[in-house]
Amino acid sequence: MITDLSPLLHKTTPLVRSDELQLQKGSWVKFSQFWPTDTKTGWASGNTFVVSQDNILVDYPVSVNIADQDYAILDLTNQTNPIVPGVPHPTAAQMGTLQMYPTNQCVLYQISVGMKRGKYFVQLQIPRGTVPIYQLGSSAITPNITDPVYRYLGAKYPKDSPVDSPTWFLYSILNAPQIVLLVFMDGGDTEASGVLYGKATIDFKVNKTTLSQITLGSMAVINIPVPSKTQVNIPSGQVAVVTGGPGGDTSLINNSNQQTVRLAAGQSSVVSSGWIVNTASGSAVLTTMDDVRKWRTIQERALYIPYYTELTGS
Amino acid sequence: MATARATANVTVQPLFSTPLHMKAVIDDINIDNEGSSGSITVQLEDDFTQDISNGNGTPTVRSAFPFQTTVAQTVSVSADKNTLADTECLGDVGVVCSATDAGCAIVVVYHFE
Repeated sequence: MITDLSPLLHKTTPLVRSDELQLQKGSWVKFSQFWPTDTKTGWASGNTFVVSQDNILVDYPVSVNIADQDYAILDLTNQTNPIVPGVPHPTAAQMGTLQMYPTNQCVLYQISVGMKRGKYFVQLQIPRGTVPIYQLGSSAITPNITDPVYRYLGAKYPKDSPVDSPTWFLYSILNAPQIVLLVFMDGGDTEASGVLYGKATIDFKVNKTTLSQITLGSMAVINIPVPSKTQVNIPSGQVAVVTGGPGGDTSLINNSNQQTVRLAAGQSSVVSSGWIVNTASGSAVLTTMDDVRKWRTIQERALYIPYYTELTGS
Repeated sequence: MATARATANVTVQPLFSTPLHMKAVIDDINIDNEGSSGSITVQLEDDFTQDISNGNGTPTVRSAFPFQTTVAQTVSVSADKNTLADTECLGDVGVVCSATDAGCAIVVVYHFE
């Protein structure tokens, strides 16, 4: 749910391709298998997608005037009254949600966080009230916006993702966990009635992308009916790759010596002519080595979008 | 940079409004007291809305006075960038004075960031 680049990157732009920073048509995206497989985010979990349409950038600046040593909560979700189990419902701290989540499946919002200069910092929580994302492994020190020492632990400052060249990206999909930014004013410049105030301006840019799922199967040259026993017809001198079907009971039988190779679901094996593919349930897919190489390239280069639970470990 | 001008008045004379997602940086303030009201105290006033935060449950208008000086009659003073030290304003900016006198002019030079 986060891409966090080194601030140095914006000084070395000749070495960075624009599509490595911002998703564009043709970009590859791979969601972690740790995304829940339920009806809410199951469409994304563990799957790979290509950005299938031209992206649309929506500028969304947000400013808050707050007192020194006070903080505002920026909730990026579409909820009107977000409630996190086990966390008291916000009262004064709640300023409403910013509606930065897609409303349909297969849509990904890549949100760049560009911070204007100012004497403030930002703490990130996904979801709100849980263990902060930017923490160390030790439970003895935990980022805490109300703690005078540990509010600075893991904080993001304007210099870390400046408004002109943001390096901090958040990602939202339909029904994704609540992304919350806690904006803490740490040294206001404007004094009114004995209290210092300051303005924090964050220029969000929402990159709206439409995704189409891509699978190894979608590039297949032969689809095997279910269930079936099919002779693999591979021209002499070439090979093919068989990928096990979801039933997990795909087997390969060598016609000449009756050797049998069983494939688990998703497991692949290279075969040549003379083999029989037996699928008692599910389906097996034949594809070419070129397609397999392309698939591996996609898996290596796709933008990996982890689930927040992967980001809070030690 | 932009300039805004007003004459001395005991009620707030609006100069400019700061855009929602910007801050106004005051670069220079020139006051020329050629009126007949004697010494005049000039205050820069910044009225802005404090947003909802952990410590503030409802949007509240606050008034800040980031600059004040008293200018004797027939005297002209100038506060430049060094004196103002990056004075920033967040909302509607105006001037309010201790006397109303059209002969006392206040010119504020500013820019938005």
